[in-house]
Amino acid sequence: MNFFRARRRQQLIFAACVIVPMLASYALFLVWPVGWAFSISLSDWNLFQNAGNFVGLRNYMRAFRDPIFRISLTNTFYYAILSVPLGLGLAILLGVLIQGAGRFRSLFRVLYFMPVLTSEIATGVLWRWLYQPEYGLFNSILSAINLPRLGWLYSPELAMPSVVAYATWKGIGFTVIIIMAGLDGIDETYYEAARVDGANLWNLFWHITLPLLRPTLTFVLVTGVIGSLQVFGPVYVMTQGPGGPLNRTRTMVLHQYQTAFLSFQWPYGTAIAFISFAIIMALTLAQLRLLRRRWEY
Amino acid sequence: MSKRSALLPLSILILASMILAMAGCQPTAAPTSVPPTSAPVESEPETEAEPETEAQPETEPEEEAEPEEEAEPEAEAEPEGKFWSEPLELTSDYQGELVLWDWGFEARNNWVQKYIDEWQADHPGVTIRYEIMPESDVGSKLSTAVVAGTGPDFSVLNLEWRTEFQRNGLLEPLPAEFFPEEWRNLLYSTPYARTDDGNIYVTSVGAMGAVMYWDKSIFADAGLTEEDVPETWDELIDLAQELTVWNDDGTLDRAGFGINGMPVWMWFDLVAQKGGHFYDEEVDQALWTETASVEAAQLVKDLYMTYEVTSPDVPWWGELFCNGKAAMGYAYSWFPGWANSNCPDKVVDLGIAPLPTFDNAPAQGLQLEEDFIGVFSYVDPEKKALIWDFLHFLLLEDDERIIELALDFGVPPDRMDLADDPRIMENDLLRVGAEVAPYSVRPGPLPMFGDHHAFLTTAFEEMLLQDASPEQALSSAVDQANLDLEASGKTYISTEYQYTPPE
Repeated sequence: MNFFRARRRQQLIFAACVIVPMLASYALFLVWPVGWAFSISLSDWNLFQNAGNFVGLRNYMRAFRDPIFRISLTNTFYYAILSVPLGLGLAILLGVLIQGAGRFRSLFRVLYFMPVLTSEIATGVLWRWLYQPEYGLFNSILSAINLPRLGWLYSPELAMPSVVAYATWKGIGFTVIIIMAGLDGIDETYYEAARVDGANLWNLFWHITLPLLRPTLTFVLVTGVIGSLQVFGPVYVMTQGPGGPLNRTRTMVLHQYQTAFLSFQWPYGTAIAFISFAIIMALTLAQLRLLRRRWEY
Repeated sequence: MSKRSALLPLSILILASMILAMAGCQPTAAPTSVPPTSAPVESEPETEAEPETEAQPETEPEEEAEPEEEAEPEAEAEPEGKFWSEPLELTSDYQGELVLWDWGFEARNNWVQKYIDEWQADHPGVTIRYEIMPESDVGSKLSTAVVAGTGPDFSVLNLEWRTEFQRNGLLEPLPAEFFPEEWRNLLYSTPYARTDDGNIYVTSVGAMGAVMYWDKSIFADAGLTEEDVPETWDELIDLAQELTVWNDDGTLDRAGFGINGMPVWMWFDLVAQKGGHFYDEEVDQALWTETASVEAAQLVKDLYMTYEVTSPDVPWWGELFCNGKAAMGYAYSWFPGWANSNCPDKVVDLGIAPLPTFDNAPAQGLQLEEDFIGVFSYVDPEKKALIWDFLHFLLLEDDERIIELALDFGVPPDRMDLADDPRIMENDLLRVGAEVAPYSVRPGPLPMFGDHHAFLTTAFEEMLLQDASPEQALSSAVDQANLDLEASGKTYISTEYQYTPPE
């Protein structure tokens, strides 16, 4: 018995040695800063004086009165509604196609993943020039095929879709890699059995691939929604203002950044951050609840 | 364990952590504003005078008139001419490094570095580390570094940061004994640079304002000369319409007058020309829906949509000029420096003229102080003494340095006494700036240059992209600005009402 107690104690000590540093860094770099930020959002704290008075939910109430915040909220959801289905659908299609590419699989995987490796700033600036209405490549192509030029980033209607197009190009490779990993996990015998039963390509995809890919798709969907609701880089680099024209590309995180760091209104900016967090948390929990299901086939 | 029961303790853990962190991080009451401290080392000149005053009473019993004669030595000691140009008597023994931050602007950076090298040669053992970074980085880096105590000793500041630092007691006022009243009274910016405590915190090296540019080669091709450069807005509209070229596909080939990227700034000048104001005197309310403001916005909109001398789809004036795609344009006085860096071969075609005006306009437009260096209040007195010495050397001891900066930087000097220097007069940009300086409104660091600029940008986008009326678009902007003024808790000092047209 003493031996087993000693061994148990040894195991606990070992576990503690592994877990405690992780918990400590978690507390130091996440819990404490988040808690402190939350306290700032409930005060009129000033960076320069490093002091503030408790003001309750005033900053949160201000957000709901702020028309720019409401616009940024709408824009953020608009971005998510455009980017997530587009990215997911394209990634599934590409994943399935690349899966069947035989010996060129690796080549296509690398090619589609390359934009993921590039700098968001550099590619964002590049795409901004591609979208330039007078001199950009996209409008030059449209003119060459006798189609009307578009405003792209200068058009209130097209600015956000233009940003979505760039973001999809930039991030699709990562999603494709994950989808392909999920596809690799599907046992080939399912397909063989289905073919024996006379299933065509669509049947195989709809009745075998998609259901068995569900855990992967759930992960991609949830992380995709989280990422889209936190969009900042593309809108900051590519749009006028940024956030223009007419605030049509002003997202929640961009509004938070500009409020806190450019307008020096940190408590309000922090309140926006926590409202964003609450929205994202609520949506994530809702998704997990809706999508939860025991995957046994 | 089901997902629901797993999430519950996790949520509780996160919430508990936040509450504990809050309890450990209760905000403290805001301190009273930190009064600026002055370096005590400047007291030496006063001690030198004391023996004289102490000696005088010995002669007093001889004549009752002595008390008046006591004043005479002071009158005789009154400095004459540019007495401030005498080098300071250094009172600091500090040896080491001083850190100066700035953002990248080649002409200014080169000028500062040149005189840092010269000053250092006369001050062995003291070095000034001149750190230059992108302008977009300076604001956030400076604010966090200053608070963390790792900021520079002094820094070039812009209008907005100066206000924030000043408001929070982080800047040291310019010592009157080193930067005397006589010198300050020669600066255009002095009446506008004072804060509510009467001090001046940041030096100014010039005043930047808007200028009308024109492309000499396009004018020459159209058979026009400098004599044809418009002086009124009606003249500009007529000429711009003549020189605008539209393609058959409806795109703009050449703008008659390029404004893109700066319609809001141009609106500021037009409001000033119409005698309007941007805020009430207490800066509690925005006044952008007053008649002058609406009329000014209507003109901007008409240039695009009625007179069609430009298009929202083209790049800003600078890129148009470099590609020979605009006959005239609006930009600030930093533009020639920008053009010199981006299209040096084209600069020879750059013509410069004052902005057109309306008939009987009370002002030419706005001029904004080109804020220069501020010294942080947390710096040791020994270091401060050296910094004052350096700034005095740079700005007061030789007017040639000021002229040199003006010529390189493209900003007319802030000095009224240098306005008619032949070299200023020979330079088109500086001459124009110097000529319009007395007719320019200097509104001070108002939020329309900072937080509220985005509201105005959106308003103009509504006018130009959605054909909204100026009243409607500016009304929305006013609502947002007033909400921000009320909710942000920030206070501002307006100097726009100090302007009176010269006789």
